[in-house]
Amino acid sequence: MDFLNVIGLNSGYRNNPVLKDISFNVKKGEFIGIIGPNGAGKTTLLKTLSHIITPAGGKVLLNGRDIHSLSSILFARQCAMVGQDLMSLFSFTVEEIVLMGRNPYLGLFKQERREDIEIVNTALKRTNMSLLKERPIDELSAGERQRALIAKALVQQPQLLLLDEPTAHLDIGYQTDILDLIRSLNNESELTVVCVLHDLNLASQYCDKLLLLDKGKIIGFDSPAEILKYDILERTFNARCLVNKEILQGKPVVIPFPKKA
Amino acid sequence: MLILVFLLLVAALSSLLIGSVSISPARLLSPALRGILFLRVTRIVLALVAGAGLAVTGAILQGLLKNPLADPYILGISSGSGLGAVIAILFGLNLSFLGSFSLPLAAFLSGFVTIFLVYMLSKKGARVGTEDLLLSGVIITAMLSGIIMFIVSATEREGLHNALWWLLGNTQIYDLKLLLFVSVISVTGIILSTLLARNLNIMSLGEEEAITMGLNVEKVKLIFFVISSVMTAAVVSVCGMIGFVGLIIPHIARRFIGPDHRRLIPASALCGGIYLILCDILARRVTQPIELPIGVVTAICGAPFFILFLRRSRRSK
Repeated sequence: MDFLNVIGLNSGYRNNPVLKDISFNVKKGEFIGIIGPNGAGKTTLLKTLSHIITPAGGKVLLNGRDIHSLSSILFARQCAMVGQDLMSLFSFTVEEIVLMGRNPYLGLFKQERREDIEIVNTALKRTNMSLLKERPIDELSAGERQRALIAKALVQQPQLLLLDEPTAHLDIGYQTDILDLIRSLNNESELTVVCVLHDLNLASQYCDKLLLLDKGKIIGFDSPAEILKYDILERTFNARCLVNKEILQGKPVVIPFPKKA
Repeated sequence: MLILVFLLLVAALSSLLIGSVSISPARLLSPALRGILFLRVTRIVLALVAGAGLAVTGAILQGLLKNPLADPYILGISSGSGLGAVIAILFGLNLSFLGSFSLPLAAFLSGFVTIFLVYMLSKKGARVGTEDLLLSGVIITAMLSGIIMFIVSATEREGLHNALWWLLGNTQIYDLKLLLFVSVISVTGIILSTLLARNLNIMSLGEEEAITMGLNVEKVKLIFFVISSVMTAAVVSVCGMIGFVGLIIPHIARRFIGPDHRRLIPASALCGGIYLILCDILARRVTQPIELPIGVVTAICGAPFFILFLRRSRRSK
């Protein structure tokens, strides 16, 4: 029994079944990257894993239990999600937003206690956000906001962390900053990470294994060196590219180039 | 928050003294004025609970629907209650055993039927989409307003002036039981939604975000939907359609107190109460001896104030 078992998953939207018969297993403490072309079903998979979409068929087992039979409050104690960005209508401060992450431990009428605030302070320190905690979330840069969202996920004290393109709007400094943070959280506390990534080179360097999706099906699930091969990539992404394994200690580096040269 | 309580007391006191007959503070307790004072106190209490109820409902719906333009009437309650009231006034629906309750009852029930219809229209399986809720609310409002206009324009009955007066909103009260009814519902709603406000904070981040944070979003939506419907229907059934309070007051309160609904809801209640008491003074005073419908005052005074307020706060941002 693995930590996370996905068995024969069919999922999607009402008239648009996106994922077809997806099965894979994840061990505790692994860092998994989900890659694939636009429309492959990466986000749908993540939304199904995060309890947002209920699958049409198949199961997702977390620690042996079907997550869609759990209430959302029990599920949220085991699994947290970091979206691409948070578009809050109101100017909550960083601290207020992160404190909301304690929701799975509070009932409808309960308010946060002192221990919740201590957990929040630890998470803010861990994500290097302590100095910015009084700032409104909508006045932060995209990278700082992403760190605040990771802090909010951490106070849920999850065993599984899901991320949907956490580096989508960030410059290269922040891209590595965020992924370094996630990697170290993953190393320290055996936090299992499943992360949708667009950038194949970042996926190559940070992930233990890559799940390559195309048209709702798994093309491959293996180490970056096995997945990031030029023939596989050219076929699934309809691109031309060059893969180099020498310059970064065996981690493949993918360089796309023009189709008409 | 303490400042707001203070302002509320000042507003209430000035409302007590200002009116068609001005009363000097020294004569406040003279027995000759007891009748006038009693009338004024009931009006102040009604303006307070109505303004507070509308402002709180606006704050709830803006957070719940994640829409800054949401107000208590956006889901169709006002048009539903309006239709019920207009029919009751024009066609003389006067159930004798209900006495002064028959008009509010007609308005309350028709408002509730409407909001139930809107809710069922936006329900897909077990889920209720917030966009669907907004859309069906706006559509039903448009349709029912059309019917109200039709009835009002086609009728030559004598109740026409009464119907229009009702539609524009007022804070006159003829029956203390009605005042008690609105007060109890409004105060209960405010307390309940303050206790539940933490869930509203999470809802305002977006529904998917809220699900992954462990919130039972359908349950929370239903609870707040019921609270805001009951509050709005109660206020509208007694006071008619007092516009603008529910839209602008939450924005103003948010500027002062921040977006946390645990403080925003009580603050909106206070601001809404103050605003309606002040508007009521104007309604009684400005065009003496004729009294203006308070809904006219809230809109005419509220709109320019709101524009100024928005422009100033944008500059400071």
